Amino acid sequence: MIDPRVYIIKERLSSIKTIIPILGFKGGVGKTTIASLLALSLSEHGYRVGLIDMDFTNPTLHIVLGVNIEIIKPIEEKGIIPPRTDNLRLITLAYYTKGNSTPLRGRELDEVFKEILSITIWRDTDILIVDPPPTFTDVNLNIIRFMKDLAKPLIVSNTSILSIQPTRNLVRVLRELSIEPIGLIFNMSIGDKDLEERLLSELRNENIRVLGILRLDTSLEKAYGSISLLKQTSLYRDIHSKIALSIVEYL
Amino acid sequence: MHEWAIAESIVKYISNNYRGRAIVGLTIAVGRLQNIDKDILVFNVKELLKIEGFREVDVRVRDIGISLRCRFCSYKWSINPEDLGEDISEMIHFIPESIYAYVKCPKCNSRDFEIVTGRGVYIEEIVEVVEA
Repeated sequence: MIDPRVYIIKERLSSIKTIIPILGFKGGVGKTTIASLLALSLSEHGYRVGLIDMDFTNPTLHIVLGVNIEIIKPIEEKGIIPPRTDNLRLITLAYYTKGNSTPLRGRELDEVFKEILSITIWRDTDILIVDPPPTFTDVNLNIIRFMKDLAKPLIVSNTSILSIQPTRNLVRVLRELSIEPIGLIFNMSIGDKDLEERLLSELRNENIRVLGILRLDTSLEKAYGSISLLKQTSLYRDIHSKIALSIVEYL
Repeated sequence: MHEWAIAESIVKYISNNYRGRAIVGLTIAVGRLQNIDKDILVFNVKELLKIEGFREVDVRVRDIGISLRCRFCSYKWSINPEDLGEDISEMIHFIPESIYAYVKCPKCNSRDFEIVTGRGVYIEEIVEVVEA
């Protein structure tokens, strides 16, 4: 029995110029928020941006962006067309699971990955931002397998010494596969300069471009669900004025 | 229709691996969980095969029944997706793993079950004429 899906996935992605997986081996470092704000910023910079939530068991991109999954769903047209939200095209399993608990083992995660990517038609999309789950398991392995040719990963770490080793490992694993990260962001800093200097020092040997150290933004909790409020946060301003510009230059 | 996207992946495999060869038969195994419209799938596959130069292919579909097995208590059962209602059936039609959001083991209520059979669309057999 031959699974034909794997033969069409690269073709489905071929119209996209760049794929930016937001990678981090640790959970809770702000990948989903960074993915959302970066997508909004790149859209303001004139790019046509798509987003795919690959945290299949716990999708939250739609919550960050205020997408009502009870009403909005992909359009069927020779596949599924990701719906637009504020000029972004978003695909999430939540359109189909409606927020219900969806426990998935590795085999099922692999199936969801292949199913979604084999039937999604990315129209008008220059940049696809991928929000995967933490940990280096099925979904992230598939991202590398199927998106390697277009992938320019952005690594997100929090400002904790516990993130040094996972970040170092991630950079090395990507480079072993000849994938060069677009850069590294330290997120959720509380302004401890000694700690920030230690993190920079520990990772200096990896020779990875640090795009910025972003301060913990407590205003986010009130902004989740509203794109206009998200754009008023200091984190968005930092991403828009520093991170996105660096990425635009890199692209 | 989503059946078109599935047909494209099937024909992509054939055009990648059988170009210039005389394909006369194709059997597609379709899991019932996905509730695929088989007539539309066959029509789409034939149309796409013609575009790729495979004109005389007998395309058949073999249904695969649904078998589920609980990983907690080992209970085995089956479902009819249409019994779950039109909305849920449609969700499972697009992404079969959506079933985990709506179905639990009828014996122990666990959502940790395995789709043993009935998921997916596969190329089961390709028949080609090989000149002696």
